[in-house]
Amino acid sequence: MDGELYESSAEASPVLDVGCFMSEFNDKIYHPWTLKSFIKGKYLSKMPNLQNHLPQVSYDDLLIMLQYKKWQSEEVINSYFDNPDQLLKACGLPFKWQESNNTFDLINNFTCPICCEDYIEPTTVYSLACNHKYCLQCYNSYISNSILSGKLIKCIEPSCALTIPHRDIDRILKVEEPNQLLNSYAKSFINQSTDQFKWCPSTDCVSFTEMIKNYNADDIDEDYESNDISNIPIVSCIERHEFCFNCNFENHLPCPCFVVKLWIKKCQDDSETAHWMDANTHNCPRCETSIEKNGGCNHMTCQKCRHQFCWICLGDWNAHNAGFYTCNKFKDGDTNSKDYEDKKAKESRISLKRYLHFYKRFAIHESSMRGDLLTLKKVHEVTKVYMEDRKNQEKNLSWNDVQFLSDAIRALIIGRKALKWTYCFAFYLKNGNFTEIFESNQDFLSKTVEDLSEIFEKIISKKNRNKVETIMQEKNRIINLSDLIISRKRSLIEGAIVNVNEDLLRFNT
Amino acid sequence: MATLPKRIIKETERLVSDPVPGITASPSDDNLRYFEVTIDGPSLSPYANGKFQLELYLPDEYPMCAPKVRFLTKIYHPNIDKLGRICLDVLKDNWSPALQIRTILLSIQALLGAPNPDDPLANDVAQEWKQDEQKAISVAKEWTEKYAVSKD
Repeated sequence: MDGELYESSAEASPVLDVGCFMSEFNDKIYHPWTLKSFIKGKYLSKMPNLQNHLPQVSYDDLLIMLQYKKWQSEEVINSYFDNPDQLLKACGLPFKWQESNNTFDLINNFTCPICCEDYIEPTTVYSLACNHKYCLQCYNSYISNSILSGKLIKCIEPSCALTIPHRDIDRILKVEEPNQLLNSYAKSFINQSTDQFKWCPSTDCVSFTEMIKNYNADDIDEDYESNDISNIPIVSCIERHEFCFNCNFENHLPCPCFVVKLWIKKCQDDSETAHWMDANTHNCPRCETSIEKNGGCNHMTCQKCRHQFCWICLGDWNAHNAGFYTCNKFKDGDTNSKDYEDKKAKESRISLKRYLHFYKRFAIHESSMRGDLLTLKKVHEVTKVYMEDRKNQEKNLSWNDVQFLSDAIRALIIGRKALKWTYCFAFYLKNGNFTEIFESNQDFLSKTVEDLSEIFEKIISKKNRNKVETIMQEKNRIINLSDLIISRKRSLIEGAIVNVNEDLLRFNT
Repeated sequence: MATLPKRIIKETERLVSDPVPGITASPSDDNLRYFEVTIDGPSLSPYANGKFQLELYLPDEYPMCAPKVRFLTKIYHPNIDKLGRICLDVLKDNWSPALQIRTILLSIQALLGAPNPDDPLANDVAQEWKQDEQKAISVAKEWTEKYAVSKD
């Protein structure tokens, strides 16, 4: 995505530290990171100070010491002044009187002790101060294997404790991106500190978010069926994907985490089979066993209870009298079959229907959201054209002037996501007066989202020859609708939070 | 089959031409990465006189990862479980590509001479080993006699 266009514009309140944000519905404070910014901010930023204190030590050696001391520069400085030799030894660095001559040598007639390859032609070998030489291919595979743990990497020779500098690792791996070892180190650190850091769950997103303040994992115990949705820690990553820091799932407001879990489990268990069963099977009118008809006539005999019935009207076969192969009861079969379908079967059918009602809407919004993402890409292209167009008219426009477009797409996606989860929310809701209020809020949001979506469809439609003009014509409507989506989504969720907390909305799980 | 890396060929040659005393390792005819191994129990250990059979396999990543080794002969040892799997640092975290088949087999032989019940794999054996070392040693001798000494 274009960095400029998506430059964070979230309004940070003045008390927050640089790079920190506060979540929308509560006071959780978080910091979105990329791996690169994290390494720079938390690790490499300590180097200049360290270099000032220990100018006699090389940059590479300092970086090794700093990693060894887990990025506590004070520790490095103190240990160095206490006993430099001890620190050097612990870090796997050569003593002061030794040359630290890490070399990439080009030599002839070399036999690598690892792969046993005889290099007669000149080949590059790497060695540390210990002078244990191995060919670059072997060093490359050795480092690729060891790097995942993020720990400092030693010379291949097991009895040798010397550490390979970060810079040499990058050179041996032959990759463009620097700081490979620090990347691995940071990754494994983040994976081990899940109370404080969470990776963004969006597909293909590689950023992560740090929780800074006002979050306690025990507040929302995953197993505890807490109805309180005011406390859900919704954070966003550097790409502005919103997610729940507690269950590490996408932003699922207004649903509490435990409802999301139930819903997802239900969808996995039921949806596929439920669809298929709804379309292909009938329940035996007497014993409710699901029956699939894979051929033959409509005279069914239940294999379980031996009840004979008509597949078309589900009526008792004996009631068909002479008309065995034509179901004369097809049209008024409803009243007849009611006698046979017992209460329980009806109930289960109704509950399945109810589930499918909500699931369908949930799934539609999910797939529409994927569509929206494609639209986003196309609109982005159109935006560029729009910019060019404006430039031609010699009006000095910046990206700020078209910010409204990307804001609108973002609003659309936020609206859809909230809408999607309202169906999960509604599925588990007990009926009541406040349910109706919730549903009408849902309707409002739904209508606005569809209106905006329609405008975007119109813009990128193939038939539309003058996309730029459409954008200009619709600019005000787009801005109004996106503001409306944001405020309606907000009032929907705020309403849900208040009503759940006051016990006016209740879950039925 | 993919060509065998030079490293494996050289190691195999040396294992045959210059065998380690008390250890044999010969590659299988149909898979040159699979070795049939025997290790003699160290003379001052409860495994003395025993000839233990093992299998050793060199994975594709070898020598960047350790060989897979397993006892085929039943053995009573705190660091070797019922399935013959071995708990040994150089077979896991402390593997280095500079180690070889021969050094690994020597380490295993050394493990027979120095059981380490404080870092057990077979918990029941280790427990008995710590409670009554004399008894455990005699069981180990019994098992050696029963499973690892050829009767002919």
